[in-house]
Amino acid sequence: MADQATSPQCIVVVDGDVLVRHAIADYLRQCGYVVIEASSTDEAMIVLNDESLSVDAVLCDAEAPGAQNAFQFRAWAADHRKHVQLALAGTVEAAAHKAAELCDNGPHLARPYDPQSVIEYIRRLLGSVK
Amino acid sequence: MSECEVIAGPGHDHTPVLLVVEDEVLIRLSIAEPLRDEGYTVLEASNASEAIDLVATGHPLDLAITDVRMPGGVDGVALSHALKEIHPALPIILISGDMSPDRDHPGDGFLRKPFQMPELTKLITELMDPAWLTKRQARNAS
Repeated sequence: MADQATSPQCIVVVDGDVLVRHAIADYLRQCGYVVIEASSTDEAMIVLNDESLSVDAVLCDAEAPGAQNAFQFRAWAADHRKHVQLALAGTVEAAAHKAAELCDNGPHLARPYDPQSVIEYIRRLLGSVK
Repeated sequence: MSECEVIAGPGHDHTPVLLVVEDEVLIRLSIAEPLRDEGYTVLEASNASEAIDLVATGHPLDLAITDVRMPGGVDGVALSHALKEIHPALPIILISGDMSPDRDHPGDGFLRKPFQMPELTKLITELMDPAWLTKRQARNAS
């Protein structure tokens, strides 16, 4: 579970497939996180740029629709001096390579998601910034 | 009510399930998150196509809230017609900043944007009241 003593950590889930997005978002909410659903990388960028929202991590399908891409999330975080963790998921080898280049902590996540793997990955990712 | 219709229905142990269809992510978030805080389970869709995909899974659903103007070929009014085809007794709230009051629609409630969350939660409570559902089902049957 997310640490209940402090405010829940916030994860943006970016996925163009509503069924995949809903399933993993629902699971992460049950684990205690605040989850913002974005149907595209453009929506995710709108969320990241909203000053009223504090995002701890972005879980993004490497092939999510939108004009932005995962490199721009990283550039955004650097520009804004924000410590936003990025987790990429993909189903094809190219996505796996992209994820391996971008992710801070270990391998990418396989999509379709295995909820247990995702939560373990997210905990490790967010635990590293505490 | 058709045999395949899945309406979760109110009950002591039941967490009502709401579908929010809105193409602007921050508005969708500003509706969905307070409703979760109120204890509802909220499904989110960014357009009509996603809403239909979610409903087609057979996920229980108590009420739908949809924006009217959305990208793609299906706006909120057309989506409401489609949802009523699948779930005739499903209460639907339409939200819009610019829909003409004269426009015919199959929704059960309408809120003009911008609105306050208490207005929405009040309308949701009214539409999901068991007495309302009984009255509506009787009307559908007649």
